Amino acid sequence: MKATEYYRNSVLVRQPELATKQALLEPVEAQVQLDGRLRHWIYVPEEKKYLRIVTLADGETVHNGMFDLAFTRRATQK
Amino acid sequence: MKIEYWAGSDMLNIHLVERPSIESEEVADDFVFDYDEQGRVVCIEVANASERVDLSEIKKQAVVMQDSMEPVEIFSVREVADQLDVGVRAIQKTLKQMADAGQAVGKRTGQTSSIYLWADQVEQVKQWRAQRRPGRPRKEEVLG
Repeated sequence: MKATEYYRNSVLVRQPELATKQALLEPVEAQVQLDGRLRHWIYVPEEKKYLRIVTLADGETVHNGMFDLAFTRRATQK
Repeated sequence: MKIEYWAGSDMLNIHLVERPSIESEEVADDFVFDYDEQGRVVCIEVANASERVDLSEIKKQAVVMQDSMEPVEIFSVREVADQLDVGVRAIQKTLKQMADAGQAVGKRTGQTSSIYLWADQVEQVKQWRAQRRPGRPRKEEVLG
């Protein structure tokens, strides 16, 4: 898997519990950001939360990630 | 409080306290709050920072990181095991031995998910295993 230096040295330091790879393989939803980067969401059962992974425009270089509170709220209210 | 500006990726991080976050919320376009277990904000992340905020003053107080946008490779334990032609458990055992010896490598990504290693850490694992081959000596080693 490919990642940016920011992901390696900032995101994973702040939020170490990210199961990134599955999000790219089987996202429940994907979206293109205004800057051309891609958002992928996946449900992580052990956390009971949705994980958002942002890749560069190539769709495979991971740049950012977070457990997405707003997406989790929306999905669980449906 | 610590302020970091990642120049290559144009990301601004304002660390209010040094604590890991457990979830985050995009409160406005490009503005993300990271929360700790008690729901307190521990970090504010601003994407596309040069467009979103006036960085001229902030940069005076920030640590400016010159990060590259060139992708770096990250490897799962399974990928390392495949490279070395051994089982996943053998690599997990090696990682534990390295950690016990104070040479921990790898980033765990979840309680049940795998550990990721950077390319240089994969080399460390290979060197460690090469120096400490498990089991009986191989025939060619005995015969010289």
